[in-house]
Amino acid sequence: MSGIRRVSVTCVLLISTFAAAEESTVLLQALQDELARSIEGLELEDVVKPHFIGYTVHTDRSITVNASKGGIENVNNDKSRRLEVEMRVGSRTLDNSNYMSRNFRNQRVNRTLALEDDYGLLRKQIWLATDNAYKDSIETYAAKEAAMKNSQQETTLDFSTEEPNVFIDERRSQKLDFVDVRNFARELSEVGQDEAFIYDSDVVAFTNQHTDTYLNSEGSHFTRRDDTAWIRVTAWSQSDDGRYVSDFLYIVGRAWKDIADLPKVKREVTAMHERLKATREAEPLDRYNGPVLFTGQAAAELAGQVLARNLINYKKPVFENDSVAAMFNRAMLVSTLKERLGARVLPRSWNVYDDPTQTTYKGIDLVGHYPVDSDGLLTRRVNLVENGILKMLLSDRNPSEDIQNSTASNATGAGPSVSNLFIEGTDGLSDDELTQLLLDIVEENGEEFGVRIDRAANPFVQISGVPSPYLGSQIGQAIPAISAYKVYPNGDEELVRHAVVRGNLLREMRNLPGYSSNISVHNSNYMFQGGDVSAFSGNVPVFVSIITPDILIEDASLSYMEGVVRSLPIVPHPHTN
Amino acid sequence: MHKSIQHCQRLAVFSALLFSVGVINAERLEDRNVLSAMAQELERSMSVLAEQPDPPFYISYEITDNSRAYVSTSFGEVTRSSESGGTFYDVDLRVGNPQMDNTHLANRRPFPRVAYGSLASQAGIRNYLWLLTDRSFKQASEQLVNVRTRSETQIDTDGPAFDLAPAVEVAHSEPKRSIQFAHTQWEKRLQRASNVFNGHPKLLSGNAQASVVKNVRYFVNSEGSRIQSDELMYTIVLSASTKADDGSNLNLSKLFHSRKPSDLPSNRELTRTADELVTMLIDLRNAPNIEPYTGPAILSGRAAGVLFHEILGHRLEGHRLKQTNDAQTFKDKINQRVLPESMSVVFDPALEKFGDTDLLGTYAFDNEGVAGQKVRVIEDGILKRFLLGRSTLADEGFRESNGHGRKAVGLSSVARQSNLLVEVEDPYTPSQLEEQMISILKERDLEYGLYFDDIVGGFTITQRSLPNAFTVRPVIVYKVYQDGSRELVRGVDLIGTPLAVFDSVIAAADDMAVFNGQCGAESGNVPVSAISPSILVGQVEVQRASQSRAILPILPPPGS
Repeated sequence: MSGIRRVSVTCVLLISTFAAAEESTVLLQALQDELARSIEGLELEDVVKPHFIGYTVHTDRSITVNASKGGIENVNNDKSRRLEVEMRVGSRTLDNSNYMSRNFRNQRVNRTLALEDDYGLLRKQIWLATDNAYKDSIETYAAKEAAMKNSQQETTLDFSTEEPNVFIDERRSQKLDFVDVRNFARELSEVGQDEAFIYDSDVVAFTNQHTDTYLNSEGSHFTRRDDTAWIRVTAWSQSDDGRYVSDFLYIVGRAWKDIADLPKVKREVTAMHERLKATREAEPLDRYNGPVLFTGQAAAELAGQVLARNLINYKKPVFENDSVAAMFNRAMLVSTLKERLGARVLPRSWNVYDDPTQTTYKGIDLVGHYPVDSDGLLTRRVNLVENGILKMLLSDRNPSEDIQNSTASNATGAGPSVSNLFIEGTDGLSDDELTQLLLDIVEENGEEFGVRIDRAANPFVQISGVPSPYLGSQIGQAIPAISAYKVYPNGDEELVRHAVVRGNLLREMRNLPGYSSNISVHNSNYMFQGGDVSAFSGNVPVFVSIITPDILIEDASLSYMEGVVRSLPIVPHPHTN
Repeated sequence: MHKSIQHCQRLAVFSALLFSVGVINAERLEDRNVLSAMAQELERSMSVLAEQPDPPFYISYEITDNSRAYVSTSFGEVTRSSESGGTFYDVDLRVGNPQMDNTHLANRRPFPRVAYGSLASQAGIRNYLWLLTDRSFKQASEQLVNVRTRSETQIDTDGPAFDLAPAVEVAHSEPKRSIQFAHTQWEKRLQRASNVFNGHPKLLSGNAQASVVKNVRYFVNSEGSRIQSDELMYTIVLSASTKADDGSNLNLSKLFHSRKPSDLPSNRELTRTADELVTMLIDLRNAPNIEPYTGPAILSGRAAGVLFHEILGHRLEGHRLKQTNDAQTFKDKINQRVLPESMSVVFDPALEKFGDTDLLGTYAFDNEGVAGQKVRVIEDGILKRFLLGRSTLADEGFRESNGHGRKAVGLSSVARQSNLLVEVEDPYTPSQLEEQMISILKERDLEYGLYFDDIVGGFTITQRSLPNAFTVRPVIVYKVYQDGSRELVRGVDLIGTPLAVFDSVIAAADDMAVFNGQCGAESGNVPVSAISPSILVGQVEVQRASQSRAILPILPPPGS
């Protein structure tokens, strides 16, 4: 926890005492003064008053570079500062949050702020944003109240009670160099550029220095560095039957310099291209039902796409009417585990917890780390599953019937999410033992072979020009494999392509025949939905670390991936001439 | 205390953004090598695809290399500072024949298909084009099947019109223009300009923005044309807003465009303009709303320019005259009078400046490889010509493009406007024009007429299924009384139908003014200009403008 200072306070007046050297005292003063004035005086006759105001100022310095074939395709080098207002009118029992109408939109008011600290101007900008937020909120409150009266919709408490905190993040951002990032992306995109089997490839390098400055009417205040960086390399081709084959490399970190090891990344890209070439030439997988061993990154995707999204506390919104409920209910993700709190959902030997306080695991950086969540709550380890029994779901300050308080899991301000998800088991097997167990099940079932998946798709990684491998499938209900092998009892292995795992994998995870004692760490992005729907602003990717063993599923269904089939290019690749 | 913090932070911001747009694409090939790679891949594609049952009879490749920089300030402080850029690839591939190809009777690519690529190597360029060509060919082949089927079931009114009229082979290369945009200097200039808005507590926003956009365009086609163009435009926008007591949001802005930074307004001019915006906004806050009205009006040059753009220009875009769902207002009016004899209308993409103002609708070659030609659409009040891209009309005289096939990146070209110029013989002076309106007021015993001084834009509907109307959005409007006095009013839109308005145009003045803007239509946003004198219209109609009903901010401004 070095470099981070925690202080709990009960009085907002103490805030300035803890300001770190880099913190903008002018910005903070402007936020404080406008907050005090608004909470005191912002009201209209016979209309509900604010019971809570939260200000978050997002300051970004971001660089995005797209490169391919040794050149730059697209760049963006930007600096911005934005105020987000969380305005709650009414009371904790009933406020304007979590209401979904036909004209649904994100109700958080956002306003661009001056990059520089001009107290008078900041006050003015905060004042106008607060005024807009209040007017929007009282209209929403009235509509929500009317909808509840008309439809007898029940709702739980709308806002949890939490202790205020002050937190100053003393970590410093690394210096960003646009030319450095640009050159990195360009050089990386040279790898494989002469390979005719690669139809197209793309490198995206992204780095962002992000600082949140937060202040709310309960006395919480924090500054938080939330720097992110990632490198994404994609490549695609077509197999002889016209199916698209693609692969990707996705390196995620908290600082550009931590991930931008060019020789190392080049090697990884070369390996990715080799995988792509092999996959392109592999035979497609026929229908398969039987044991599947998820290893490494594929195990993390299984945990991330199937388990993690079900560990979120989803609060049911109040709908304007039945037709709105019908329209949006289908689109909303709902935790299928929510009804199983207190019941066994995973192997008895498993403990699962989320711990955003951890920065590393066995020397490997964890990207899911954050010291304080976007509601100003100090993060802590949250035990989710103990001995296979579901104990808790991750929540923000929007309570549901079962979970009344936040677990400080509002990582990005878009609702609760997983951060560093640890899956630990006490009965792990060695790699050889786990493979043998796979083959034992194969033999027991009288199957010809079992399947091992080393790499799987990630829903966040879209490849331009290539249909999504999730086409025709719901996220969480299907995992498209990128590297899958038939594993024969004699030890032979055969790469197959276009396999997608379907079925109720979450249920299968309850009774696993085995998992590895080896634990691996995977940093990636996932998207979650939960919390206050009024603050939902689309699919906000969250940086997540998944620390998981390899996982053997006893009975999974694999089928040929649905999707678009195109005839092969009529004109040969230019490199073949 | 605040000053010192401000200063330190400003230094930090500047050091982080001492960039140059030039570094975005520093490794790009020389122009001739870009064009050569495009031509090689085009020839290869034409050659191999010639063996297909329905081979392409035409392919064009267009690459647009875009760079931009942007600075925004508000009330004297920087709010955004950015640079960006991208290289976009476009392919236009036709199968069938020039009279009936895969685009025949069809809406072409309604949504942009943006394909990025780089310009680092010839092999890379050919790789992108190879993929896009393959995709385009397969798509075009599917479209052609649909076209042929449709031609069996629908009456084709196009006759001998071309879907892709022949064009001559051209070679054109423009000198390179370099971007001169130092963020630090621009930040300082704009801070100074937007600082003018401070000290006016009624203003809810007060911004000064600057941007530069550079587009290097490479075009090759199977007719042998090779074009490289280089467009550069600097823009400054001053804008401010306030809210009237009745809830109306009032916004004013002033834009400056120039190809050279040295031709942009000086700091003093910017400050003066910002001051004028403030004064006008305060006057507008206190101005009364006007009731719906019909009667005579004078439209200033900028307002008239937009009016001509909306009600005339869009209806002269040739491809619309082939669309059966279009109202085709002017299709059968060739050689008929549509305006007073003293008025002519010209579209001239070669016109770079009007007076001291750089024009946005200027280009040497359109997006179909045809030289932009001066088109006198109305001569002495008589309709003579239409704007044409390579999708032409059946009638003799309209079967060749006049270089107005334009589009935004990722979309398909259609006929679009360039620089619209209204010419008037024996014009009045502005005061004579006003006198004439006053005499009409007296004749008709009307209390007042209207003077539309400035507008923000407008739109028009040309389909048959909807009322064939236009709306022009004025921001500065005066009532002009019989005694010549003026009263500022607000809250109206100028509406009408095209032919009725043209019938009502009485006279024009000699005070030419320029409206530069972006025109959005089915082929995306393209830059255009409209140059017109003030005109007197005998009968206009205004309706109440849409208006916010939100009350004024509940709390008083901070510090008040």
